[in-house]
Amino acid sequence: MAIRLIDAGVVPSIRSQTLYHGLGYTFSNETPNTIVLAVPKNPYMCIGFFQDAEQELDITYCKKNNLPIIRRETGGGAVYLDQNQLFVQWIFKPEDLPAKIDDRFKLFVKPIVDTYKHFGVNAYYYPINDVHVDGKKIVGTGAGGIGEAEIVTGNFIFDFDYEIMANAINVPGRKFQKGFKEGLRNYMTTVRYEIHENINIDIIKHIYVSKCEKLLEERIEKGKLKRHELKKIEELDERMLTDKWLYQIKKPYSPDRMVKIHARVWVGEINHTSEEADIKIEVKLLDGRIEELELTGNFKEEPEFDLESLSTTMKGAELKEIEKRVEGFFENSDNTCTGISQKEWMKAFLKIKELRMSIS
Amino acid sequence: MAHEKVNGCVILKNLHYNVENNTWVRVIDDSTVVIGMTDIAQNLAGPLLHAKTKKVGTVRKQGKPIATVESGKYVGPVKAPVAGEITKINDALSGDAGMINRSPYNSGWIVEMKADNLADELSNMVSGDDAVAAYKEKIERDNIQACEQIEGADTYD
Repeated sequence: MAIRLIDAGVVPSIRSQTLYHGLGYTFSNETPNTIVLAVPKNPYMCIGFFQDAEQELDITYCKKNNLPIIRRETGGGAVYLDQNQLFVQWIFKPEDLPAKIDDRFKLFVKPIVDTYKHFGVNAYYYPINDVHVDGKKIVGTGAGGIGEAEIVTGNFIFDFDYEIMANAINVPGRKFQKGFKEGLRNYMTTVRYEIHENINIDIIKHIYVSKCEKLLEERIEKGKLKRHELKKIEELDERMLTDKWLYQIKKPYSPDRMVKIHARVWVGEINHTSEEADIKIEVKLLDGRIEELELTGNFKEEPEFDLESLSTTMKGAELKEIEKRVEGFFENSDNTCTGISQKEWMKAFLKIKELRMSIS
Repeated sequence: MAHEKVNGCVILKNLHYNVENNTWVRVIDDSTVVIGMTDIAQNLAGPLLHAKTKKVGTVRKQGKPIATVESGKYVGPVKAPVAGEITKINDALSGDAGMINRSPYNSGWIVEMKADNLADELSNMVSGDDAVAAYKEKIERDNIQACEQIEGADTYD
């Protein structure tokens, strides 16, 4: 059976999400593997299924700026989506995709990478699920199992509003709030930035489809939504805009937060409270190492050592080295600590690792 | 406990398996079963970050979701191997979904269900050497890579 292509064109924001959800929920043995292409008419924020909207986003900012928030049933974090992106959505039979999720992403991004290359954008696959150009992200992806289908989604990014994304996300850490927008610019790129020209979207679609045909060794034929599929999509258009759907995940408030800028870069804030002190760590991770760090705190008794020297010791540490670095610092007799125990410092620093491992 | 490793993936012979959906069933009594993800399923998914089970009292048809899990950027359902009512959920998973990775057949169980028609449904599952053979075939057919032993995982020698 040929792969069905649904070129939905420019669609309302909610429809750019409900298309693949609806096709997933109605998927059966008779449904052909389907590729959807769509462009959202208006900007919106989209959060991963397990995210707490109120913790991840500045809801007030989103409301004030008419930025709808949509929860999707795939993984990953909060993203800004708009009309300068072309969405690509695969709704496939499980047996037609690699069983291992990492391999699935690798397959999915290949025609996107090849299409970018066709237009002179030097894109390459960056495991597990990113596409980069010179270390900067140029595709966002997600995956999920919806109904009887397996879904993989991604987007071509032609241009990007860094400012709105930076304002809409609750960025942890005072130190990094200011730098988040610059961080996005440093670690995210667009077609417009890379090749300084606009490409006709129909040509991109055409090239992308031909790359998919080559990769998947299947014919891809333009098709339409069936009546029952459209009915389900319309039902989801309403359901996925309700507060019940959006706010269904409530996580206990945590003073510790970490946000991904892209696969290599994360920023976070740890607030460790004990009887001896309140320790605040603002941290930036690059390639699994502490690249930047700021330590502050309220201490019952000020530490005898300079906090800057502890920061210096911890900079460059891989996550798995954190324990060793803290121990090493306190083995030095000059760094005795009467006001706050080594144990509390250790707990505070280990939270960086725990937090990083707890989010996708 | 009698087990076999297929491509490094553990299969306990005393459990019943729905091979297609990669779930296992432990029979407690005539109608009560405990359900979880197989070692192969947790390996394919990778490190799990979140798990949300349906509420106690939820009635499910066979094949409908009893839980949703997230690993990396993938969110997917755990499908009910039997029809019936959820009578107990593993609360520990909401704070530590990684338990499914470390202990898929023990502490990482997902829900307990009161099955509507257990005898019939068990007859559609495989256990013992049949389960081992079915998984050998699945691993080969789907080209599934070897399961990796993760830190802190239950050990089977």
